[in-house]
Amino acid sequence: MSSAQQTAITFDAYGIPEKPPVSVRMRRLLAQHPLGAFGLLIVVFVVFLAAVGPLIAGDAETISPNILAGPSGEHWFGTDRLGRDYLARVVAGARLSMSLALGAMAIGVGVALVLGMVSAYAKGAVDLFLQRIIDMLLAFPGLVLLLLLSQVIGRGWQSVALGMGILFAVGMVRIVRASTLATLAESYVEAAQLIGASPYRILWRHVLPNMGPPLLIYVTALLGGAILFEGALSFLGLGVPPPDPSWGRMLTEARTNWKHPHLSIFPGVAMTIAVLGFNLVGDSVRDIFDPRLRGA
Amino acid sequence: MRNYIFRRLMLLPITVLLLSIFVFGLIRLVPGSVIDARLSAGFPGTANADDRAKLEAHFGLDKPVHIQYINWIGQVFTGDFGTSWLTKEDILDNFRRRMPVTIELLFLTLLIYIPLGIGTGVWSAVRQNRTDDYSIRFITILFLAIPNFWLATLVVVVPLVLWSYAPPVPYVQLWEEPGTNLVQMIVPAAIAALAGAAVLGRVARSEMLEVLRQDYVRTAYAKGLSGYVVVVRHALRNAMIPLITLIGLVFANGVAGAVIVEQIFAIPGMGRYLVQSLLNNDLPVVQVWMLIFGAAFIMVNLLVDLSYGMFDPRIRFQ
Repeated sequence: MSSAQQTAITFDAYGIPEKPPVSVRMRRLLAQHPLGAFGLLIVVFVVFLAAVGPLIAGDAETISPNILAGPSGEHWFGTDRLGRDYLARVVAGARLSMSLALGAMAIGVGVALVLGMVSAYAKGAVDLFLQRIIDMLLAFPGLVLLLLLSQVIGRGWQSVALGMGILFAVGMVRIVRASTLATLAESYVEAAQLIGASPYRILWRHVLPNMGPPLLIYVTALLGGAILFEGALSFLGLGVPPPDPSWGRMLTEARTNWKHPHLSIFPGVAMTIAVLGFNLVGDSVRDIFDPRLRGA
Repeated sequence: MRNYIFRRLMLLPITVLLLSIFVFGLIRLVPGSVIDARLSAGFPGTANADDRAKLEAHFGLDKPVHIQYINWIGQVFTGDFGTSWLTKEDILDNFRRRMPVTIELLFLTLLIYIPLGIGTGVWSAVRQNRTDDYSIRFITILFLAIPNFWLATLVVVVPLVLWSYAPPVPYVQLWEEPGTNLVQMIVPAAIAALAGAAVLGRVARSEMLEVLRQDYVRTAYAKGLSGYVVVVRHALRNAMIPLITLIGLVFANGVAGAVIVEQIFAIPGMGRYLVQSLLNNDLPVVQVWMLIFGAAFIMVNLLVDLSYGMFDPRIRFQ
């Protein structure tokens, strides 16, 4: 380290380097992870579109006589087989896709936290039984398990969110359980137990905060997957039913109108960009919190 | 090691038993009753109390649930998979006809998947931080984001629009016209393989980078071995061990890919059978499908776990 750099760091009375302000650390972090920064840009854009896009792009349900028109000044992305503005539908699809991905993730995290912590805290027969079930479910490919769940839960966006939530919970229970077991073995937990802290307090105050990084890595890595799962499910006709504009279902409908390629290009591109953004952010989050895996 | 294998093998029947109860129970949670689904699948609008009672008796649904389960599992074990509600066909016959199709598709998928994934991963690692490494990593990241069902749609639509080309239909069996069959199968297999190959390639790259830093690799270079020999014989062999853990994932991804591409390319295999049955609430088919494939996934995972010790003698299980 050069002397010029050393003088730039100020020391407080205890000789501990002062932490630079959050804005500076944030900028450094983004500079160290340019791909992640790029991904974050995409994610912010997609979330922005999902939040306010429908107000700008117009109504996704308005039917006009101008059916299956190609892209033009009036309809940037053209129109679909009912004459609905395709840009508005793609943007509305972003809202649906984002809501489902985030909703499913919230359900998944909630279910996994409860099951994982109970499993680790209860030990014995409960733990063994729960883990056997998780073992069995993990053996299935995600899509196949999701198809089975969709059959049980039914159709509609709430069901898709619930199904994906359960699917993600299956993967996360393991992480929560392992993290809980590791924390419960710490001596400060033993100390807390000795002074009479209740199991709830231990789980809430000691176990939960330690869960942050591993869960965050898993969740960000899966958000892109959530978009793909929803798309695949709707594409197969087992996800979100009409008239809600799902990218997956728009692609299915585009196949019957294959003479109008704009119908299959725009939702696909939108989906790829959104998934790419989440994947890039996920990769960087993993690098930041788990340096052992860097570059994997 | 022997104890470990023994313990895992003892747990296998229990896991499969759980699987069968899970599949059986889950299907019975379908909103409305199984009979409602049956009535709406077969003859919509004809549901009345008479039909209902008759159907319940016919399908053995008037008995208690545990008796139903024992009957069902007994039948499956004796090779009686039941009949489809929709087509009234024997499910076992359908499996016999469709399974070879999906196995061929899976085989072709893996034939593309594994060499492509490992090849690009190794190449990328050997050429770390050069142009080809960056290009491979970029393409990998891109293919992880492109939905395979969209890619499949484009592969069908684009040649159709540009050159009015469509792959030969309808599907022919491999043993009838091998050439036509391969033309029909190779594109779906490639699409099913791509996203998986990207995952495999990423893991292969990081494993290779790890191994290439080892002393024995430097020694191998130092004693004058060619780059090819060092990479393939010394480095790749050791990098392969962690990759074996991915075989279960490769198989699972292959089946998930088959479900998608069989539907898009109208290949009459097991994946399409599942999707069609789901779309038509054909519960007996879904039930048996999940049981058979679930058991297959569990077996593959078990074999992968057991194979660690075989490939890496350093690993000793308690």
